[in-house]
Amino acid sequence: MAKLTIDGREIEAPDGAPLVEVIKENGIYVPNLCYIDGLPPYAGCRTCLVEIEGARGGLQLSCTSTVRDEMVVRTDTAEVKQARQYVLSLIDANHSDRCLTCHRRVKCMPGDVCLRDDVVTHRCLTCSKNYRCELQTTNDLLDMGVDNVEPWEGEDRTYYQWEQPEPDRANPFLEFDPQMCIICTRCVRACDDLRHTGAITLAGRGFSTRIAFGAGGPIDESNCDFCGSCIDVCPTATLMEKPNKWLARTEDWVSTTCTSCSVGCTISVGTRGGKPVIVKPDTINPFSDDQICVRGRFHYDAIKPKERLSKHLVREGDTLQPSPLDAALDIVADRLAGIREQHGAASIAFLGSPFATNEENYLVRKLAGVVGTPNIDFTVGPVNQAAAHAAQAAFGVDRLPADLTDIPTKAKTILVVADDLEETHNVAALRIKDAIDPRKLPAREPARLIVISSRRGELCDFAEPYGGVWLQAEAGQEAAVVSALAKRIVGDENVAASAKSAGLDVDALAAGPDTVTGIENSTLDNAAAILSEAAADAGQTIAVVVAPKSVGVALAAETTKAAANVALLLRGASAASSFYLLPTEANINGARDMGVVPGEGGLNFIGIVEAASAGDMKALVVAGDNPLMFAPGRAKVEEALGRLDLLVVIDQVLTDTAKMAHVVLADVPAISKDGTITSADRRVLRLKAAQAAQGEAQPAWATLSQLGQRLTSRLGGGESFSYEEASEITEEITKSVPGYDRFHFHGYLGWGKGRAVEDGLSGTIALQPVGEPASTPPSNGDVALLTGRTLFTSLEAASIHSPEADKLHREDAVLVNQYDAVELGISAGDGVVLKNGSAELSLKAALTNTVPRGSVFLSSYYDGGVVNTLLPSENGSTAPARVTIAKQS
Amino acid sequence: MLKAYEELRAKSDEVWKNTQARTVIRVPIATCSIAAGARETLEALESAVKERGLDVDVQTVGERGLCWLEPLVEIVKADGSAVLYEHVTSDKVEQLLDEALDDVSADLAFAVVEGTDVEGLQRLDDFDLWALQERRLLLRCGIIDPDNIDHYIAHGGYSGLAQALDQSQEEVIQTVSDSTLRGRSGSAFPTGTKWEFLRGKEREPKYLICNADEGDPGAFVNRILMECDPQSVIEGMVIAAHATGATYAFFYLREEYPLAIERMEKAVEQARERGLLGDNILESGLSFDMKIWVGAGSYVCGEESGLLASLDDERGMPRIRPPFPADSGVFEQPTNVNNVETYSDVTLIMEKGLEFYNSVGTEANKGTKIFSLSGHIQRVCVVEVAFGYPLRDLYHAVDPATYQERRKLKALQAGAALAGILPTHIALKLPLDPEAFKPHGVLMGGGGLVFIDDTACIVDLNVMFSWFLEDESCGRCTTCHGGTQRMSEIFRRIGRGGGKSNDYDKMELLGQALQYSNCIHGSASPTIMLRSAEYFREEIDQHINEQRCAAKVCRDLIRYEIDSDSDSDKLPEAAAICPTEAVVQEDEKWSIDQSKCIKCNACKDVAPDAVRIVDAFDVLPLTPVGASATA
Repeated sequence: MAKLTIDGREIEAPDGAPLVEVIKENGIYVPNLCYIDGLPPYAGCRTCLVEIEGARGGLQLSCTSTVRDEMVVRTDTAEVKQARQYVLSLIDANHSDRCLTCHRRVKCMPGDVCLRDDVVTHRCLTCSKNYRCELQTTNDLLDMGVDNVEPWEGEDRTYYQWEQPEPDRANPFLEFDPQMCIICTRCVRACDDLRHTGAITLAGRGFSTRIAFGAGGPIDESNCDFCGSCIDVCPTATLMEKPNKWLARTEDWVSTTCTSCSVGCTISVGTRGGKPVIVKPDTINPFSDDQICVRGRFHYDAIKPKERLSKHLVREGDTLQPSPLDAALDIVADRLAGIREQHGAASIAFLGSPFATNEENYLVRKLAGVVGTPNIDFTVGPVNQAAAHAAQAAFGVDRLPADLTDIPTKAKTILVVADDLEETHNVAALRIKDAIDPRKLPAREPARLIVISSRRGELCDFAEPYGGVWLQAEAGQEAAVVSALAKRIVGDENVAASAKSAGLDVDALAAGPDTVTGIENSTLDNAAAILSEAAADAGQTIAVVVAPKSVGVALAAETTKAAANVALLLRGASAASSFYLLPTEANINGARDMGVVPGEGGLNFIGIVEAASAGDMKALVVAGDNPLMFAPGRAKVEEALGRLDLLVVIDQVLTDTAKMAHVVLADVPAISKDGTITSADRRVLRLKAAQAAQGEAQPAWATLSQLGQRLTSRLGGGESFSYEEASEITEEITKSVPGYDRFHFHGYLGWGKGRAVEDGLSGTIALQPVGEPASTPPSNGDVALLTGRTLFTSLEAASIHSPEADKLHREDAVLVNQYDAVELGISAGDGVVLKNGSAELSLKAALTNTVPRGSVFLSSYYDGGVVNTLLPSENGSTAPARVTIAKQS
Repeated sequence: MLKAYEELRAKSDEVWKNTQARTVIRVPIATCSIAAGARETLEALESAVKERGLDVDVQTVGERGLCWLEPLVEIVKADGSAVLYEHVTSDKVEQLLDEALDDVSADLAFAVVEGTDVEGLQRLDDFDLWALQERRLLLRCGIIDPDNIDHYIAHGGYSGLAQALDQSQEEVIQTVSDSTLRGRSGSAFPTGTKWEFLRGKEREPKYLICNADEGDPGAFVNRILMECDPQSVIEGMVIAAHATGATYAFFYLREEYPLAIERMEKAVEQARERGLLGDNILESGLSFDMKIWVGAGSYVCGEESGLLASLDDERGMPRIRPPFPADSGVFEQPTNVNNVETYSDVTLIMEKGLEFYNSVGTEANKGTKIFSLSGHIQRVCVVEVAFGYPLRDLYHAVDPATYQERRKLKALQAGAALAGILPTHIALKLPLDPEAFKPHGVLMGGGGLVFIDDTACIVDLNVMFSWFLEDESCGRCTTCHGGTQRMSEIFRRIGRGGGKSNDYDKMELLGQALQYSNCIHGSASPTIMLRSAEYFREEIDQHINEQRCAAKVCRDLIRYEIDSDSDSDKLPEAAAICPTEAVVQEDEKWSIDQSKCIKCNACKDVAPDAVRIVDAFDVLPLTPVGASATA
């Protein structure tokens, strides 16, 4: 630590820290229009001038200066102020600017006539960033208006005599207006250094230096992922969110959590008139920190308010009719009680949901308890349970202690077994890239990455070029590839010896394959060599990341087993600290922790469907889940649901499942909810309502508690369901749910930092044999049908079949390998028919090189999960489904 | 002395001796002689010699720096006599061969270089612009074939390296430090100190860079070295590699020097063939190699860190310092960057010794400096003089006619736009020494000297230079890309007659704001503006207060008139060439329609006596700026 003096104040700061950050942290204003905290200085704006005693050559930039002991800094002298003003005047001169220096700006009201007789396009009210613009604030704080520093007024401003590039408003998310740009290049560096995307560049030179996307064309033709990181850093109105651009002068900010995947990025939702209008990253979750993805930022208004349910519905014949809540709840309670009376508790099942909060899942469990049924699960539960069981068998712990924040800060060797983590868990993929290609300060050693996936995702590009390996497994063979690696590693005497000394039975790996079809042995050797190196260096932090798909119980189990074996070989008893199981959907871990798993002798989702199909299951309560969208073998599920005597659906939109229901209870979206969710590494994160409930809709926890009250009054039992606030349920959770008891409930204070994991590594570890991969040989030129979560499609919009579910229309098509397409005579945009024994699907084709030859890919969310009509029900096989593809005639 | 070098030298001496056995016609092929037609001369000579079956060698050499005499062909006869012939364009080749082989062609001869005096012909050594020079770095230029390493070695090449290799790293650096050698690009940083920085770094590999991105307008000092004596630069770099422990070098050469690229490529190849680059150089155990790297045409890539960024495949922008190149240069490795001439100087120091090197020059700067002289002078040339040589004497030698009051010298621009501008009365008092320039707020720069006479307007010059600075700004610092743009706007406005009394305040403000720029391109770009305002205030005031351009250059302040007294023979042609039909004849009387005239000067080109340029206000009442310019 160094002791320095800033404006006469004694301050302690780390030696060598960037001076500008230290000044800001100590609450002293310093203009800095190009600096991004935590990145090396760009030093382009030249406004952060300060006086440093003894420095040569006059005033110094505080962004390029570093803290030294006994440094004496002044930011408040007249010379400093004047120099900053002069420099800022040069920035203002090339900006459409009158909002900056007009002394009347604070007095003007909308509709006022501009007293400065200025052309209207120069006026403050015509800028969407008015009152929330960093450049404007900088001008205010430097007294540019008060001191009337406008030396260039009346000059030619040749910059504007050149033809200005047109603003780019062609895509649904990002607006780019180069005329507002002051070329601070924060966006360029955010895209490069914070996102590793590199979609933005500096073009031209001198006065014609400009920001350009890709090669200078439209944004959506560059490799922009629309994460909006550039918007966050832009000090002007150059880069803006397109939705609600003019409304986003917020009245309030609400800190909540994104529920689009299990990373659990914390977000701040800006509201105006009680409606969310803008979303920014919130740094509460240290893993997501300053970044979110396109879903977190833009999906808050994926569907229109009128598309949400605002009334509760009760079936009358073929139609669902609005009903008062009390009446609807009475029907549900009466009929559940009746069915239990008539058919027994085992004929009733409950589905919780990975999209519901912990509180709601907790109540689902509690309700099942009241009814007395062990039949409780959620649609993708079997897959998750298979993976979780495999991990538990390997490490002896259920709630794995591995902390995701170790990946960007410490991990040196990273093994990722996942198809395109970029699309499923965007920010997790980003943090892995941070480890591979560290750009942030303080500098860290880069990590090496091994990716095992069948599709080519962006992470694959971070393997080989950075000394890692990408192993392109055939779909369904992922586990086999990992096993082959494990077998190679255990062939290393030292690894085998240390595994044995850790009490592992290495013979369990003996049956693993030596070779895998489609992958060169040398590639496997290279990957194994990296892992062996990591095994030899016990001090090194490693990370084994597995993200099973939401379909395929057997594959999830085998893949998790195989990856856990590798982790065990590398790290023995402490392997659980390096093993990350990333569930697909937001609150899968929370649902599991809250007990939304089959009870003793209970049926899981597959069993529930079987039972309903057989007529044994009579009633099903679905809280936020959507089996018709997520379950493979859709025809069978649909048939089973149709046979139920009572189907109750609690959801915020009229999903396909809700359409079949007898009673639909209107829920609110996550952005309108209070409660908590549990992320992939079991960080317990807060949801906070940023938007009022619509119509009669109410949060599911309220509906469930009211249902609970009715059921206890009908069925008895001492359980209490009287909750006024979600926080009361949270408090109950902290008192009763294992792992959550560590949270002392103080009105959610300080949540987001703690994790509901098992402390210590006392579990029994074991290597598990991995089953032979199954494969269905091609016949009649059919192709493997791959599916998975994609980046742009909104869950809410997809579940109501909105044609705008993917506003960019990149994912509402079947992706065909470009070489296959040539052979099949398919061009981009052609209508094609996918067909197998189960169903037939007509849709558009898009060509790609990310899908391996002999396979096609369809987003699992597309059109309400329509891909599930082509997928077989869970059958214990790891092989992908097969379909024929033909051009539509 | 190394045995390997002795062997090399012996072979090369033999090669050179063989060239002396017959009559040699030396044709200089370098950029300025090529511009004067030397390529055609060479072709014509070769085919004529073949046709005539003459026992004569035609040899390509570099140029001597006497650019205004090009093509300057030298005929060296077996008896050692040598005569220079000026302006030998291809059409004069036959005449040359007819007259000069047996005798001396009085018609074409310029000077006797060697041998007996010729009646009526000066000796080169007595020629004033030659006699005042202290030719050391340029010694071989125009004499040896730059594409032939043997010629270089036979003229003492690589003996400096051989001697350096006998010395320790410390000794070599000490010698370089004792020579007071400073970077020749204009930055004037002590070379020995820079080398010591690199030598002290432990991280390997270390790199050397030769900065051959000579982009200053009016500077062609490095070009002549690379085109005419490329091996001397390479030798200096190998010596630097020995002294600093660098193992590889990048020779960053601007794309606009195609001949230099070609010659340097060939020179590197030949040096490699002779074991002067590569592993175990001269069997000394030193390993060092280099690559010619062609720049992509950006002025700021001549700035050391901009060059490194460009080499690293980044956008060509000067970097933020620290880290300095010695800590993190190319590929983030320790790096040393020197100028072409600096490396050549090192070769000279090592070859001729400290005592010789230090025998001329000033206290602070010993040795010699090459200058390229251009602008409003008769003799555009490259000369090498000792530091401290009086600028006035040099000027009189390159422009004898102006000296006789033909026109009036107005200003000198040394070292291009960033270095500033000086009025004649100060400039001609100065010795050619960087220290002498500094008190006047300007830099001597890298060797370009541009003379400007009173046909140029200082406002117009500033418009041109500020545009150049604006255009070449990299785009990083708002002070630089914004400030240079404001500079342009102010001077354009003044040039249009819209000058305001507070323009000097604005210039002052810019001068202050621009000093907070990252690199010298930004921080030094107001120099020329500030010096203009200081030294040429009267002329700028005239623009601002009287809307008058004394040099008759600023278009908006002049108008074209027909001089009614003069001969109007050529006026029909002027009317014909006028692109806007502004030159009109009514009732036998010629006039210029001012509403049509675009002041393109075409009429004055064809009828210089009949058309005159007058101040706009001579015939029109003053009108406020922006208002219509009619009475």
